[in-house]
Amino acid sequence: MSDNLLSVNLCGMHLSNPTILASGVFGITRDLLSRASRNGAGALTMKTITKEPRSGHRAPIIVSFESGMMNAVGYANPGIEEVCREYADLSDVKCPVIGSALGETPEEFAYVISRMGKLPVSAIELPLSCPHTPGFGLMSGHTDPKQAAKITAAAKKATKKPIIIKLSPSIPNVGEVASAVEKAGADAINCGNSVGPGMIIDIETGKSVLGFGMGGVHGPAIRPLAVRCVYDIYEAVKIPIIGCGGITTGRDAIEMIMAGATAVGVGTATYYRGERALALIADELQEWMKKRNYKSLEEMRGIAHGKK
Amino acid sequence: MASNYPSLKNEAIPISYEVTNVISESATVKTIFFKGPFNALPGQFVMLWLPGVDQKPFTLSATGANPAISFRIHGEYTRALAKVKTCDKIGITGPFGNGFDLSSAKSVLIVAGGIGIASVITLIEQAAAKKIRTEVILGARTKNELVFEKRITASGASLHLCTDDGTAGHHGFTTEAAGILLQKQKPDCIFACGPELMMKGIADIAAAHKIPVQLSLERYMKCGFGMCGACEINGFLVCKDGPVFTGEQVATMPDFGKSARLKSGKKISLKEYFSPKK
Ligand SMILES: Cc1cc2nc3c(=O)[nH]c(=O)nc-3n(C[C@H](O)[C@H](O)[C@H](O)COP(=O)(O)O)c2cc1C
Ligand code: FES
Repeated sequence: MSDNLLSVNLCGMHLSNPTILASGVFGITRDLLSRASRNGAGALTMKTITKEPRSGHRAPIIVSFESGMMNAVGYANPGIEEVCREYADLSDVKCPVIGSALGETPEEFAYVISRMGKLPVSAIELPLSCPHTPGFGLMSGHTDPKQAAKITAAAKKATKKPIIIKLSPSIPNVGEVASAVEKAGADAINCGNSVGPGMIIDIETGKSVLGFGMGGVHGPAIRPLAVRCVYDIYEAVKIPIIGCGGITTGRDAIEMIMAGATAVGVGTATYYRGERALALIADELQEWMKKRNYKSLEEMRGIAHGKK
Repeated sequence: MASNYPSLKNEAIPISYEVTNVISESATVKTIFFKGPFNALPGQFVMLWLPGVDQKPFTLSATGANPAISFRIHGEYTRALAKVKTCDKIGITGPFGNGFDLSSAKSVLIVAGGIGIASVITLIEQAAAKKIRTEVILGARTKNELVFEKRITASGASLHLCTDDGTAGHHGFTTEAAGILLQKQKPDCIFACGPELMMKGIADIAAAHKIPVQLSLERYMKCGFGMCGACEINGFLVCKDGPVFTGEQVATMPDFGKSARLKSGKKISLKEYFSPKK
């Protein structure tokens, strides 16, 4: 793969291609990150980590439907203490790793971030937008512009590493929130998380299938929502954007970049295309760029906006 | 490029099957039959959803026209499962995983400890039906906990029993019984399913005798199809890369026979992990 065509700088991280493994999908242990890094990702995102261990919601935690999937994992994770031990050495992970930290309050965010900042991660992402876990994200007002700015400011104080704020197409005023966190010091925006919550009912038993009853919707079904949000955010802020939601092929990555994304997050596509999905997407992206004579990703970034 | 859009599989959703029969194999082991056909390779598993309770992995203890799963009652979930009756609906996702590989073996030794027999019973039947010389070592704590003896002998396989308390067959562990058997004959391949320390013992014996071995591992599973990462052991996914692993593969897993992850992902010792549920 000719490195320079796809290479991108995101908050000082050098990515050999713009695909980033989305948080919580596949790469949830140290050894799985290492495995994912051998599968051609530009960067990897860790599973979201909280202060205390969490067992997460009951299974089923992931279900599929005709045009996507839903999940209600419930932020299962071993807690920051344990994570500091497990992830201390990431030397065999061959691409940048982005940490993901979560708290219920700005203080708790700061605590987890300050610990995580000592790990060999290149940036830290804060999901403010999970649609299906009480105490966090959309279920506790973290995406109110004022609250989001408060959390961002606390995060910036807790580490010198770049802070990425992860939003979701479920936020109606996503541009406004993005602008608020930019002012508070955020280094990048990821948009985004799953959408919802949604629900799937098994008609034979009349019961909702996900153990938690409802969950976030992701995969191809939400791609147009994510693209429009990235478009709105690009209008609202100057900091780089990670476009994430339903990206399954190189074409989808191109669309996201044209909406204004600097890099693209990929999660659900690994279900459809296997663990090499990110490499496949990067290959397709490169093939298309060559055909259309694009010399860099920058040339196509944001072109859907016409101006800028 | 649009024409190359991958087909969107939709296999991660439980399908309802009607329960056709429930039988007690012993005081603590039950088998639930459901309406087939349901095909799977020996060693493959399904995720079984009980609405409002949970969803857990089970190897199929019968496939085809009268498929079934078998389980030992030992926790909240299996207690709820034990209440399932004929005509109830159960939600099944799968089959998942790789299954055992009999390939070109002409003689096999299959070792099962406890409820581990549920994961190898269809392998025993398939091997025997293929006229492969099939020796089975079946172990349990005590005579009353031995299950599937009739199915094993009916298949044509030769059965060697083993109990911790000596109430039936060899008095001692399956690993000892395997050691004794291997003095006399050398199978082309060994298969094992049971407590992890037993499987570790079998893997060591197989390595000492230079016989290939396949082991069916157990780890906490939340999805069953390689997406959530819950079942990870040293970079392998038990649900997708396994559940059956070769002796060479487990030899590269420092956690095999030592530790496993809780629902949160926290690693604890196997002893703690498999200690009786509260
Ligand atoms: C099983 C699963 C677990 C997830 N866990 C997290 C998480 O811990 N933190 C987070 O920020 N996002 C999490 N997400 C959301 C993804 O990172 C991603 O934002 C979302 O799935 C949309 O992208 P996609 O359509 O490419 O999957 C999870 C998604 C899935 C499918
Ligand atoms: S159980 Fe989800 S990856 Fe194996």
